[in-house]
Amino acid sequence: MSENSQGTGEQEIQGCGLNDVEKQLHEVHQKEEEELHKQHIAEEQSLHKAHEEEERELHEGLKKEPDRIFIKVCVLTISGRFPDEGFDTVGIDTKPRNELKRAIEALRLVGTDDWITRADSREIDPDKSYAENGLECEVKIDFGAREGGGG
Amino acid sequence: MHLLACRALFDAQVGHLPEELLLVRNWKILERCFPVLEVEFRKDGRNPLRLRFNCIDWNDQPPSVALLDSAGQALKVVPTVSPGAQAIFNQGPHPITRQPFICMAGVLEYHTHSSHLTDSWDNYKKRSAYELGEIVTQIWNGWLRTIS
Repeated sequence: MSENSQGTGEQEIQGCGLNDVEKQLHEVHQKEEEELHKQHIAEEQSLHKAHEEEERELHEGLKKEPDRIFIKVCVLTISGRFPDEGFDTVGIDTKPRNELKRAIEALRLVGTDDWITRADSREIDPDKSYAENGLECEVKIDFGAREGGGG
Repeated sequence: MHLLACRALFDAQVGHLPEELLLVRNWKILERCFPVLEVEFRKDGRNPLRLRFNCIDWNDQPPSVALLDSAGQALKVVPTVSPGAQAIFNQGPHPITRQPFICMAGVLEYHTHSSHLTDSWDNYKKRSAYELGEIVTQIWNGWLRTIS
């Protein structure tokens, strides 16, 4: 520090060389940026944690939505699975047809209008809700071609 | 179609049948080596049904399907269909194989039967429901409507 370092702040700055002032300003900016960065990370972590908690609640069917129960579903076909891994979580009051439509699009199936939908080793009606089909908890929907004509 | 192309199509359609689906459907794959696919359908309280698909000219021609019992012997009596359901199992004998057969589009014995010569395989082969795995699925769905 210079010989004027015992005086006021202004005198200190005046007594410093230009490089010293720039250095001090740089340090102040750096501290401000670090503070902002820390705040940003903390906010992101908080949001991420909230999102994870929401996902967890949703997947465990624990979400506190009155009169709403959830069910885990996936669609199995010869051509593949939808979703690729795990299950989608949907309301038990929704219809399997919705999940089938997403699977048909994802797996690029065509001409499936008369295909058979099964779950729990029995044929179900995809245009009735999961609840109406007597399904709950976790369901693997088996979707495949109906036997053709012959005889 | 060239033999290599037949093999490639066979492998693409049944070479990687999802294990999870096989478990749900209770299918057991006994052989899967071009041109043969052998699969057994199982269900509690039922005699298993084994099918041997010969796909030598896939998919210029549909597979020839042999009906077998769980010991691999030719089935003598085809499963009985539930009342009101459509029958795909025909006691025959088929005019060419002299065996019981599956009378359903997508199976060679159907298209070569004198009653269905006008219903060409070409009308079906490009549909998703007539890819090899889905033909197996169709027969399985027909089997589930049988009672013995």
